[in-house]
Amino acid sequence: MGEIILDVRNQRTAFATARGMLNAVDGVSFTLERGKTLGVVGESGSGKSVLSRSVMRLLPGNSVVPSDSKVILNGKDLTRLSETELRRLRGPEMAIVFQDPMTSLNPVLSIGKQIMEVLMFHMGMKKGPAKEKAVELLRAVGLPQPDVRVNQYPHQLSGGMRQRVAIAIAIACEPDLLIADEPTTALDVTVQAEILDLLQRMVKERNMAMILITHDMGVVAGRCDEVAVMYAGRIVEKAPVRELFNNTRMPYTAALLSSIPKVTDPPHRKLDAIEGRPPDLINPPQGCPFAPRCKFAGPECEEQVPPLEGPGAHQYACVKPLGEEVAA
Amino acid sequence: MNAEPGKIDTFLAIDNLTVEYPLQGGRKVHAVTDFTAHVKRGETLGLVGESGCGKSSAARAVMQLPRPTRGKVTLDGQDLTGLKGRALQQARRRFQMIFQDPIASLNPRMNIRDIVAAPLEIAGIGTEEERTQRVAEMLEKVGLNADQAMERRPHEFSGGQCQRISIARALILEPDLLVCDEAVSALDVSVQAQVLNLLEELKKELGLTMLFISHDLAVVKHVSDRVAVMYLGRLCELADAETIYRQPVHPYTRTLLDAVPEPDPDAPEREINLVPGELPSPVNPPSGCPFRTRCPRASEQCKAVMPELREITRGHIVACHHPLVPEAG
Amino acid sequence: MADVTSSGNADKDDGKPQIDRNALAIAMHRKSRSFGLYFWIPMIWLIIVAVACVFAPLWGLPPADEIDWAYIQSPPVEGHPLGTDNLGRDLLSRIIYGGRVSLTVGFAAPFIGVGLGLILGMIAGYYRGWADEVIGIMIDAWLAIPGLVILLLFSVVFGGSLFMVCLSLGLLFIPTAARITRAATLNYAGREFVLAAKAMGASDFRILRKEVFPNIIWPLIAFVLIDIPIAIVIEGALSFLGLSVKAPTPSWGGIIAEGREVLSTSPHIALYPTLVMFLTVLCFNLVGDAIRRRLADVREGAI
Repeated sequence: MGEIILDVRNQRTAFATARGMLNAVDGVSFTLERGKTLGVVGESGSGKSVLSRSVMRLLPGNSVVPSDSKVILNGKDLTRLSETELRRLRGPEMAIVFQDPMTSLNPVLSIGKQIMEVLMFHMGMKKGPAKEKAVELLRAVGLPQPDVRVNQYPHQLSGGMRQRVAIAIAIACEPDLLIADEPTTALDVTVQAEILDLLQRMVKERNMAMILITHDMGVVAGRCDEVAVMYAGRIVEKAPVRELFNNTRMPYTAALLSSIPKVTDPPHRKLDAIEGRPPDLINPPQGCPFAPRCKFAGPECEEQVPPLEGPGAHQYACVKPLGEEVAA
Repeated sequence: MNAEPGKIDTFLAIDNLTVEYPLQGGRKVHAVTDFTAHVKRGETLGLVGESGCGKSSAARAVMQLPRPTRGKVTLDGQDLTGLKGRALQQARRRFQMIFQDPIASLNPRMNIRDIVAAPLEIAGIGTEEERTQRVAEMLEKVGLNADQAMERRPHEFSGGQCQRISIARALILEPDLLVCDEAVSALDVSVQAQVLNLLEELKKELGLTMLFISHDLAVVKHVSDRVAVMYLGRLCELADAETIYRQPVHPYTRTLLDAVPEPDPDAPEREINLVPGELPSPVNPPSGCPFRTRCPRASEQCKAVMPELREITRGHIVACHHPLVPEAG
Repeated sequence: MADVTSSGNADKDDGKPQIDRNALAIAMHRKSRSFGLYFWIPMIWLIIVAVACVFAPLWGLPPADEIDWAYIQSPPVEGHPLGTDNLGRDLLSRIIYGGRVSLTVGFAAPFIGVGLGLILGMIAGYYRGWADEVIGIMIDAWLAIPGLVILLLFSVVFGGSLFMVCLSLGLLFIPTAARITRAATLNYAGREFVLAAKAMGASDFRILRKEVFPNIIWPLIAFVLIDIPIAIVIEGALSFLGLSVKAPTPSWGGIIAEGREVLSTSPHIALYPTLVMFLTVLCFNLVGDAIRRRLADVREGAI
C-alpha cells in the first residue's frame, strides 16, 4: 500500500437549473495513491468533468454540494478551506490540465511569463531563477528550443505544443495530484500519443498521482493503473485496468466497450450500439440509472440504486452483473 | 490518373482537385493539391487525415461550397465545376452533406418540420401537406418520433438526435451522393454507434454513394469500402479498406494506425515512428514529399522530388519513394 | 490498492425531498432571471405616458393651442391641473400632445436607422468582398460628417416636418446598426446551417431571410431599445433649439424652451415637461436594460 494522496468521500455536486436540481455527481467515493493513475471514463453528461472540478473546488455559483461530501487531499479537507487557502494549494498540491489549451492559456502573456507567475507566487522565486526554471520545465515537457519558445505567445504554438505548455504550468510547483481533464480530445492522434506519453512520464518521474479523465476507452487502456467508469453521475464500475477490460462485470461498461469501432474490426461490421440515451439527471429513473437501456435488466434492477461493491479491488454497481449466471 | 481502373463504373470523379485560399501579401494556403479519386456507384470512400490535412476542404470543394480553385468534380457524367447559377442549384439535389457539429447544423430559430422540409420547399416539390407528410416519413426513417419532433426546436434535442435530423434533411430529396464531414465526431461512442449503423442501413436501402470524412481511423474503417489518406493537402495512399489497414505502405498511414489507442490493455505497445516536429504550414509546404520532414525513412530524393502517385498492387495507390513493402509485380 | 468506502447506496432520499430540492432549484433559478420592480415600475410609467399620448383626444383636454385669457402663466388651478404657459395654453395638454411628437420620433428614428442599417449590414456581412468594402467606406464617410451638421441641414432644407425630423435622426443611427448587423451576420453566415442551406440550393435571399435574419434580430432589438431614449433626448434638444417641429405644434423640448424665458416667475412651465421627459427617458433605459438581459438568455437558447 502506498501513501494515500486523495480521498474523495461521497462527493455530490448538483446544479440549480430552470427545470430543477441537476445531480451531476451523485455520491462518488474513491482514494488515490501516490504514483498511481486513475482513469475516469464516461460519456458526456456522466459527471466526469464536474467530478474533476469538484475535487479542485472550481465550481460555478449555482452548484450545490452537501456538507457530508468530503475531498481530503494530503490530510486536508478541501471542503472546509476558504478560497484563499484553496488558491495556495492549487499549484503546489494539486493542478489541472484542461481540454482546450487555447482557452486555458492567457493569450496576451508570453508562455514564459505564465510559468514564472506560478513559480513566483507559490514558490516565492525571484524573476531570474524563475525564468531559468521555466526554460527547464519547457525542456522537460519536450518543447523544442525552450530558450526561444519561452518568449513566445500561445498563438505562436501548435495545439500539441500549447498542451505541453499547459502541462509545464501544471507541474511547475510539483503538485502531488495532477488532474488531466480530456487533455488530448482537441488533439490529433499522433500528437495525442505523445502527450499521453508525456503525462505518464511526468507522473513516474515526479511521483505524483494522476486522475486522467477521458471519454476514450482506448486512452485509459494503456495508461492507467485503475479505471472508474462513470454513468449518470455515479461510478458504476471500478477495477484495475486489466481486470476491467478482461473481466467486465457491469453491463454498461461491456456495452460501451463493444460500441467502440476498432481498427481491427472488418469493414462494415454492425456496431453494438446502446439504444436510447442517458437518463435525465433532474428526474432520474427509479433504481439503476442504466436499467432502461440495459439488455439484461430485470424488475429487480428498478427497485433501488445498486451500491458500488464487490470482492477486492473490482467493484461494480449492478444487481445482475455479467459472468454471475455461470457461477450460480 | 491512369491508376484508377474501371473508369466506366465511376460515379463520382474527383480529378486534380486543388483548393487554395488567398492570404494577405499574395501568399496562399494550399488546402488541397491535385487530389484525385474516383468512386463507384453505391461505394463509400473514406477520407482520413489529421486536422489541417485538407480533408474538409476537399469535401466542401466536392459540394461546390465554394467551388474548387482548380480541378474537376464529375457526378454521374455531369461536370459540377462547370455549372453555374440555377443549373447548379438544380443539380444540388443530387448531392447532399452532413456536417460535424450537430447543433450548429440546424437553425436554432426554426422548428424541425421547417428544417427538414426546407430542401423540398426550395426545390418547389409538393404542397405544404405533402411536404409535412414526407418529413414525417423521413423522421421515422431516421429513428425519431415524428409526432413529437416536428414542432420542436433543435435545442430540445441531444447531439445524436440532431445528427439524425441532419441526416433526414440531407436525404429527403433522395440524393445519389452523401458527403459526411466528421458526421459522428462530436457524438459519444454509444450514440456514434447508433448513427453509424443508421448511415449504413440507409446507404444500403437507398443505394447511396458516400464520401465519408473523419479523423478517426476506426470509424472510417467501419463504413468505407475504400480509404484515402491525406497529408498536407495531398493524397498519400488509397486502397480498399481491408488492405490499407492490414498492409499500409505509406509511412504516414503506418504512423496514423500505430497512434490509434486500442481499447485493450493487453495490446502490444507500439512505437510511434515519427520524427519529432510539427506539421508544416500549408502556406509553405516543404519541397518534395510533404511528409518528409517527419518521416523516419526520408532521403535526399524525398527532399528533391515530389513522389508521383503509383499503383503498387491492383487498386492500391501510394505516393512515396520508399514504401514500406517491396512492390509486388 | 485503492479503497472505496461507499457510493450510490447513500441515496436514501425517497421521492419527496427530491421534489422539494427541485422546487427550490427552480425557484433559485427563476429569481436570478425574473424582471423585478426595476422593470415593472418604469414599465407602468411608460404605459401611462404611452396611453396618455396615443389617446390624447379622448381625455377632454382643451386643445394644445387654445388660449385661456382668464389664466395666463398661471400655476395649477382648477381646469388647468398643471397650470398654463405664458400664452395661457393648458400645460398638461401641451405636454401630452408634445409627448406624441417625442414618442413618434423616439420610435420612428431608431426603426428607420435600424431598417436601413440592417439591409446594409446583412449585405456587407453575407457577401463580404467588394460589397463589404464599399459599404464600409460609405459608413466611414457618413460618420465623418458631424451629426449636428446633418440635423441642421435637414432642418434648414426641409423645414420642421415631423417626418424629416424622424428621417434625419434615423440616418444617424445607420452606421452603428449596420455594424452590429454586419458582425452578427458574419457570425451566422459561417455557421453550418447556412452552409447546409447553400448545399440545398437555397437562394441568397432565402438564406438571408430565413436562416440569418431570425438569428440576428435579437441583438438589433436590443440596439433599438438603447436608441429610443437617445432619440427622445436628441429630439428634445432639437426642439429646444427650435430645429424640430415648428410652433405652435408642442414638443417637450419646445415647451421647456418657452418656459425658460419665464423661469424666474413661473418655474413650473419648464419644470413639468423636464420632469416628464427625464422620467420617460430614465424608464426607457431601465426597461431596455431588463429586456436586453432577458434577450441575452434567449440568444443562449435558454428559453
